[in-house]
Amino acid sequence: MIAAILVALFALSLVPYLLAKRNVYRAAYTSALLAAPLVPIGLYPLLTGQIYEEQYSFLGWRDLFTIVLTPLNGIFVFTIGLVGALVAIFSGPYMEYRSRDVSRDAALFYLTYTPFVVSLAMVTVVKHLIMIYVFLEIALIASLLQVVYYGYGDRFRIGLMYLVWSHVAALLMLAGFVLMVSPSMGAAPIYGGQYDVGPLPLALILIGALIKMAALGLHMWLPYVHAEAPTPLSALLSPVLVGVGGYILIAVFVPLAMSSSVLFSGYLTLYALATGIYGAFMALAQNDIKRLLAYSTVSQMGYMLLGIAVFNNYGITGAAVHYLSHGLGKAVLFMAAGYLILYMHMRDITRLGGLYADHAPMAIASIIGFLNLVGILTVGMIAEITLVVGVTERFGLSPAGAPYILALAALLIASAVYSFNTIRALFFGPRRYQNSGRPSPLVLVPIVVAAAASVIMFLPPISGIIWENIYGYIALALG
Amino acid sequence: MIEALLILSPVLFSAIGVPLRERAKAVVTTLGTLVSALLATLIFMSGQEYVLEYPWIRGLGLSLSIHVTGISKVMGLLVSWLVFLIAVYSIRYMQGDYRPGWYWFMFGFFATSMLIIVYASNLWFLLVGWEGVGLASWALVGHWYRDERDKWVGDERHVMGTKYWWTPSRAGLRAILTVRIGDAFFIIALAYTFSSLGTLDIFGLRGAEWSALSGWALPLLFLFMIMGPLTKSAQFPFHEWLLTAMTGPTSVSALIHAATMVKAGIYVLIIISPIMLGALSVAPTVLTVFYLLLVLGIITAVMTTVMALASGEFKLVLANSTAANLGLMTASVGASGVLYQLTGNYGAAAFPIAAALAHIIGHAVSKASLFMGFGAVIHEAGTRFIYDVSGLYKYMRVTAIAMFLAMFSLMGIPPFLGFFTKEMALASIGIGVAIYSAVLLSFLTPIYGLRLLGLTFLGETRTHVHEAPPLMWAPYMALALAGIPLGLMWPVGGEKAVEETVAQYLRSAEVYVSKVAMYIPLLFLVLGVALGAYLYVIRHGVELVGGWRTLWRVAYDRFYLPVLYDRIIGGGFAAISRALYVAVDVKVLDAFYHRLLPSAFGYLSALFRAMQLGRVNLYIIYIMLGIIMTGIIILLI
Repeated sequence: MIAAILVALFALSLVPYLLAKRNVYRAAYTSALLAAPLVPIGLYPLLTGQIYEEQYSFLGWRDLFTIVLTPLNGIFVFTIGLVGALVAIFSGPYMEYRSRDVSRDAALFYLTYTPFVVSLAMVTVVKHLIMIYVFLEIALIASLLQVVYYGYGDRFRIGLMYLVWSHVAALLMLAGFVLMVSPSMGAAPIYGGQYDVGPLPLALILIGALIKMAALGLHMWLPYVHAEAPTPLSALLSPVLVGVGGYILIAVFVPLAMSSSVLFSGYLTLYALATGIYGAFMALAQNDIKRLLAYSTVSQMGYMLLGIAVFNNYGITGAAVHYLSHGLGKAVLFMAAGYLILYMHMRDITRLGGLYADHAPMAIASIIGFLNLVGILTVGMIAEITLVVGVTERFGLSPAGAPYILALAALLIASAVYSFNTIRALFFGPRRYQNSGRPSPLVLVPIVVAAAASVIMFLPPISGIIWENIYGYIALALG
Repeated sequence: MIEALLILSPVLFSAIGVPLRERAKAVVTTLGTLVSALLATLIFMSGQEYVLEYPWIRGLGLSLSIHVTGISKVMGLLVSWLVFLIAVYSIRYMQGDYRPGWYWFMFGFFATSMLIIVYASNLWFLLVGWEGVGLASWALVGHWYRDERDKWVGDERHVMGTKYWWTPSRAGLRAILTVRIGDAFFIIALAYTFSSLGTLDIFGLRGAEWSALSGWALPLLFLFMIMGPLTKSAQFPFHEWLLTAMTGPTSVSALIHAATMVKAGIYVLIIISPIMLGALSVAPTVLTVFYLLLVLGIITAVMTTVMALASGEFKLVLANSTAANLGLMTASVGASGVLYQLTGNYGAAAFPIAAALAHIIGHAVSKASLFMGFGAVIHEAGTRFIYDVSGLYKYMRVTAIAMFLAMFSLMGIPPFLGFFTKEMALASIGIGVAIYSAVLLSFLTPIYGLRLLGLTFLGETRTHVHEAPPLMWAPYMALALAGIPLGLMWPVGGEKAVEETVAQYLRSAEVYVSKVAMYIPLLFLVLGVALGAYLYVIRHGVELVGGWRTLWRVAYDRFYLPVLYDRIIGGGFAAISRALYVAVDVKVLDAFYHRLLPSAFGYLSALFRAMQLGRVNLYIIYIMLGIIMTGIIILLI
């Protein structure tokens, strides 16, 4: 049933393609409709706590096409679906404007949009390792075409950069998958796949996922790609694509590495914290709003990696909830950046300021977006406190745990510094820009809805239900 | 149900007001605060004590639990009524403002967040209110986001290359980032408490197995925990944000100083004090945390009192005075542990904590009134600088009378409420050498109080101003007058009631009062009043010369701490981020991955291309070489 729906969604992506040749808006609405079914699919296990499995084997490959829905991948599918649908609505006016700029109709954008969104969701719901790889590559190709045809700046070079980095990441993971195979390739370890692995495959998978997540030192491609991609794509890449690297770590790496030494966990934790702090510092140094948000994604991936690195149930639950909060928050912010490009024709925050005066709803939504990143009174706060509990459970408060705890505090503070600084620079202070045009509700509504969703998901009882279900599942799956 | 409505009605009503017109927003939100105040009164009168709990996230130890106990009832009553009075005042004060939607929504949100802190008995739930209060104060300090010149704090000059004026948006940023430092540690402390003890219930934690935590973990835990209150309550070295937070509307200042934000910090210290005292009884190392509170509180009190003497803006004097009084309260809580340790008597800890709670009340009543009153002065006179006005008594009699009454209470003059609560606090900190600080504070406080009153209301009248409208003066007059009956009630039962409330909360059988002889501080109070009256009532100001002038300059420049915070720390942070960006990201990582690697590939490919010359005999040589090398490798293996 679920598999049929997902396959149908792939097939139906031709519809927006055909529509886009005549009317971008209809293509946008249709794409939103095609992403929307992912929302209930993700929400079902998330709210009920149930595990749902559809088994499909192929030519003796057991479980090759098997699909599993759990509260853990439910939160990923839900986020991808919700952000995908909202961004699709937002994309209408934006792609109309962008196609004029690049003198090309938006058909190719909408042909690749649904496959990109659905294959991202597929990465998280398939049971078999090979299929994880396959859908990662499909997502890569779909998004690559969008960067190359609708991107900014030197888009061919940046497209190539994106291709090489992402492909290398995917191939490293594939190599890891192949090397850890016992006689036949099988289910991801979180679904009970049994593997006897040495350090090499684990290292390959880890490095591949770290490139995907743009961890410190391996992050260099992200600011280019996320800043120069067409903005609706940026609003998907940053919030939902990079975090999928985190999902792969949770589903494949963590179950196998959990028993490894505390020392390794310690190093990985410090690396995660370094990524977070470094990204925050880099974000503060940017003037281009899209580059700033891209570096902020690097920083936020530090949080997600932190949850994974502590190797306990709190940390992983925190990482999963963080995916939702970062997804919604960053989608709001990238869409807001698109709003600025559409109506101010401006990306430089030093030339903006006082935007609250004419754009209060967008400003308030963006503030909520930043609150997700900082972890204040949005679903980001649930993620933050869960992650912090994970870290304190692992390292405690002792002189030996001090480096972790102090770096954690530094990360929390550094996130607030660049976030509130950017809020001030963009929205407050004297008005410094020329206004041009009134925003279309199609642009504003998705921004506001995503922001509101991040607040609603924070409130009781919904956040409690989601949290308990994810935690319960992780405790069950990882023991 | 009643409890939920009591806490939520301000924010719910203000949310209802969002789509309405300006006047309606104001009325609806004020109504919400009135509902909340009436319900708080109802609960206060009910005489019952109970805890309510609804699950939220069990696995995290987070529940929606509230405690209706003596201490939360008193605090809830104080907060909700002050919020209501300030809302009434705001109706007129904020009339015609350019951002009424933001103001009134954040007002309601602020009140609800504070009430969560007051009633929450689960520390995670308390954190929700705690973050809300921080966020609301950021939003309201920066309410006038357009940064108009008349909303600034400070005067337009540079000191050591640092801008010495603060716009609302900059002041808001300072506020949120300072409290965020504390919050980061506060959150870590709560997380650690939960992960090591399994609960965050303020009553459940009292009997916690502290011995399960190793050596340094315990003092570190409480050190982290008090970082939250220290930053929120603007204690040295985190007091600077409060001084520049004056950029917000005066009603917001009243809210922050009297009813919410800064009082939240002290209140949380009081709430967690039984937990810390319990830990102290098994681990003497926790005493360091109490000493830290005592010392930082005293430093803050003395430092900001001195700054209050030199400030040139009405609100800055009041802000400094708030920080000073908060210092007294913090020091009192610190004294509780020290006295407990010194005397070995748990009851000895109750009195200083009762003093902190009492002084929250005493200070709040007078400070709310003072802020609202001086807000009216600023509003009518059109300036924030003290030296721009003089002799306003002639035109603003009602305001002047209210300000004199409220200030007398703040200065600690009998029989006003402030006298009694301040005396309790000074008595609490009168341990060892700390007694000198009590003496100094008694002497200096009346001088800055009389300075502000004398320079504003007395002397020659230079400008013509109008009295504030009744809707504005009624709230601050009511509070100023309230200081008298409350003060008269204090010796005949008020003090006892507060002490019993605290003793009950601490589960202490008695309140052991160790009042050191307070005659000396009292004597200095009289001397201070006399000197203040001479300088500012009789002489209307004084010209400083020599060393006094230097001292004044240092205090006026706030001990040059803004240079440290804004230029060195703030500027340093930005400089490091830019330097790292260029030095690491651009010059190393980007250069390596996106220039060096591609050009290395290009070079290699050129090299290999150069070998392909299309001559067959060359290729045969390559093949021979290949065979030989393969053979060598096989032989070697």
